[in-house]
Amino acid sequence: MSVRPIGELDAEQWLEAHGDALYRYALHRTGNPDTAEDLVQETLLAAWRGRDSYQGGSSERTWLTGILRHKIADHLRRGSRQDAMKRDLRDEGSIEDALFKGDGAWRAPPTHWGDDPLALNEAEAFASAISDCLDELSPTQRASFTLREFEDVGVDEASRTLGITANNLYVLLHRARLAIRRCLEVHWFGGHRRP
Amino acid sequence: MMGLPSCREVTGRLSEELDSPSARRRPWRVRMHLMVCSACRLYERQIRWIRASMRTVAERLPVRMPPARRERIRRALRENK
Repeated sequence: MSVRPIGELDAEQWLEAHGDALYRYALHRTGNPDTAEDLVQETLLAAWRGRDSYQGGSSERTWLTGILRHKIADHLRRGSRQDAMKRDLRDEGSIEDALFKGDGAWRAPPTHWGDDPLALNEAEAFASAISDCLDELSPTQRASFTLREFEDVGVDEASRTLGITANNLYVLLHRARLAIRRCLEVHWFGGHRRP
Repeated sequence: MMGLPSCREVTGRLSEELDSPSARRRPWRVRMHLMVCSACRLYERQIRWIRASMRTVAERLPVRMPPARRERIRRALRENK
């Protein structure tokens, strides 16, 4: 943690020190490199304008990530994204219809994955697999899932950040998990790692 | 499974248990379903495995900002400061 006098804070230094981390954060949450770049830029500019509010109490990285998280939420709420979110919450054509029969039973039940936790030496390959699987999610599902599962942000904070109710968040998370589970079964357990 | 919730309903419930503090106490109808349904038992283990694994890799996702993007941001910072 580096605490420096306010006058020495410099947006270009932030870009040097935290640019990769902020870009990675934005990219995994939005899935779009152009959007990620815009959001990092907006974040650094907002941080520069609001630099007087930085107390030095948290690390620079934490402070900047907090600003970025709100920029991502604003981005998701903007314009047509609201319609996309409503689409995500509708039942017709949902992933549940694809995975379950009319009586609610599995069409293709989950197969065994074995009992081993992810080993550290698999982490990099798994990160790449999960990154491909995240691309299958809608923007709001992706944002919900990454807030909860990457960052362990609480439900109240996550739903506030996304501007949705807790119940809507549960639906988005459930559908994201169904999709990610199916994707990993095919692309991780079916390929790289066989149980 | 007469009278018991379907796999579709149970999977939704299992997901909610990962997020909602009030969903932690599992209704007996869901417990009964899980006793007779190995597919949903697997599902529960797998979504928990996914959560644990996601947190393991959260900081290992290998992404660097491409230099051209970094440069564009640097220019924007200089112009807007």
